Amino acid sequence: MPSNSLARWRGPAQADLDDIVDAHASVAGVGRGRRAATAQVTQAYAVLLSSHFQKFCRGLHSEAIEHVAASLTEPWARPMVRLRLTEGRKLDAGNPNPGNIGSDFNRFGLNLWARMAALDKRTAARKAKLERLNRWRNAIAHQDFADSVALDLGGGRTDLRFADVTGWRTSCDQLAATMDAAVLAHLAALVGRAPW
Amino acid sequence: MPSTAHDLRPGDVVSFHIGPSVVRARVIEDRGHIGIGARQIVRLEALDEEDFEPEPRRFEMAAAEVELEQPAAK
Repeated sequence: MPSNSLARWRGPAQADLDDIVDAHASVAGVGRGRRAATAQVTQAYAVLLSSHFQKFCRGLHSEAIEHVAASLTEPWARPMVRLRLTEGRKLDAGNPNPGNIGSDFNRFGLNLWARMAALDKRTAARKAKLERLNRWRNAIAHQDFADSVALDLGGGRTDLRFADVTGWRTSCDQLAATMDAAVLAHLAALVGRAPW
Repeated sequence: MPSTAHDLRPGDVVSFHIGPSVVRARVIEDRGHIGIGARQIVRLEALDEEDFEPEPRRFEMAAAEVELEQPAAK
């Protein structure tokens, strides 16, 4: 059974992203106007993907806190633990880039990326794609595409294509499953039972 | 255990205890029913802490573990 957050990622989040795929199909075609519309839809797809992945990561972090708090035998300690584990959380304000994700989950004593790499050797490549997705999210949000090195999509290419975002989406989906498994294993060792 | 009869929503003022201290806070985000047994989780902003930090503290609690003090204005 997956966490509630992974279930939401696989359900409502994918449905939202599929709506963008449908929108892309309806505007795709030749001609200057259609190319411009396709480019806008592609940018929206990247931002929405990053937003939903952030929601998944925040949710998984909150669920983990629930299980740590529930394991405490002294009720007075629960609000203190909840407060300390969520105060200043990077995923509440920042992008779901690997650094922010790793920093927040490290509050549980979990080296998340190392654990994920141990579970799946393809994690490093997916992590690099997540980093690239979030660079593009920032560029789109600020409408600043000047940093051609940061926005390099391979071979010096910096024109974002729908297929690029589709590839990032696949990586995010695979990362979500590995994250869920890594957090589950860590919490099971921490509190003595599987959280989900 | 403290509980609320209904879902909390942004703007509600709640309180909870950390030992003998009472913390008052305002709900700033409904995180949804993502807790154990689909419990509601809310994000809060501490009130009455002007002397502590330049920025208000923001954190999460389970709705079932806080007391509703004042509902948000409708």
